[in-house]
Amino acid sequence: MKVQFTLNGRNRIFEVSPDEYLLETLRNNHITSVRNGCDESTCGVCTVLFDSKPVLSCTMLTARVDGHHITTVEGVQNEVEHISHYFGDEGADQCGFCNVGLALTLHALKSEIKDPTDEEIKTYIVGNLCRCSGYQAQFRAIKRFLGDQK
Amino acid sequence: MEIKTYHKATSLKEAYQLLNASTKNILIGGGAWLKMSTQSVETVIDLNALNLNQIIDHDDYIEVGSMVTLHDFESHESIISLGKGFLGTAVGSIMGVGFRNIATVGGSIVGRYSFSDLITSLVTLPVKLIFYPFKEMPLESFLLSKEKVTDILTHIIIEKRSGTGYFKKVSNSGLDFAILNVAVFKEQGQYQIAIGSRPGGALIAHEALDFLNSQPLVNDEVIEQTANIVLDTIKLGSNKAASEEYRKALAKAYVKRGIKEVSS
Repeated sequence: MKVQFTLNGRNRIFEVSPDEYLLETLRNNHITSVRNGCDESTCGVCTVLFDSKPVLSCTMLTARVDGHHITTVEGVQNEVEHISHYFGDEGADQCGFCNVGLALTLHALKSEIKDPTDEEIKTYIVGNLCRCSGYQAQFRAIKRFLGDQK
Repeated sequence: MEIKTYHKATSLKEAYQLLNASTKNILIGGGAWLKMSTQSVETVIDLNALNLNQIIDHDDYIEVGSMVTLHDFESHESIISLGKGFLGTAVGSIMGVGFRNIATVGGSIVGRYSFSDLITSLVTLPVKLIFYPFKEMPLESFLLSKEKVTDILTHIIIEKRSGTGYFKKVSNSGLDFAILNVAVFKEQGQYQIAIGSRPGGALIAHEALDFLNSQPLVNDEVIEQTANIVLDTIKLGSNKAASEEYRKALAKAYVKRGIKEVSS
């Protein structure tokens, strides 16, 4: 079946099977910034923005995306590069596998919650797992990033 | 899961006819749990174009479209204001935000998932389910019914209440299923208690409530007796997540804590 959606501002048409997930469609079409982690709706590394909201691309059927907007890090490149400086400064950048999904979730958090509390930040990013850092460095980086956006 | 055809419904009538045309046709809510299924499906019917993703605040009730996502539900002011936010607490504890932006309220209810944090909290309130083409039924009756769902859940009607709610999910980690869910709601001296992830589905503790709601004074002794009746009348069992004994210890502690919290 044909599925048409806006990917990072460009109208795209993909030929997919009805049971294909968005993660597979994107990676099969060379959007490899979207990572395949657990593939069980848990780890958050496959996060993309669906109409500006973070979703797990491993859990969303591509057919469901028809007519909507999908954004990967390529679509918000400047901001993601900006965020990555904060991660680097705080030592939150280790293997880097989770950074892409976390950056997109952070982008959505910034849009959705103005001046979030520490608890709101933690609740929002709880679905983006990191196996290197123990989260303290990321949390400091996120706090500084959001603080500097005010 | 193998899906042969994906169909975007253009009307409820069309969706209903297609759903009932074959036992291998299914409705999709957010589709979050489809991934875990190994069944083969002829046609998946998508309701996203049918304007069922709205939450409307009426004078006496809140009308929730079945396709409202869990994250939109937990973030909505009308839902946050109910029971001092206990519904939001319950739904906000389900996986991460990326998952809750996919999973829907309707899909969670129709699935009658035994581990559902949403169902355990919601069933303590007066909630009615509206199905296309005709049927209406209380949430509790739906949960107790074993019938296959052949109608389409379109709306969830939550009566507004001014009371206080409590929700506790016990799990081994933040993203795990609940070992036990406990919800308590109190309004004008009347309590509701529901226990979920027993590991069976959520049940209202009717016998315990008959006792508790007839007491002129709710003190520590009454609360202790209420918790004991919950353990005597609500079946708690064992699975690989936790033993029956452990669930009983948890249930006793959190039922008591919940009653105290909504009473304070």
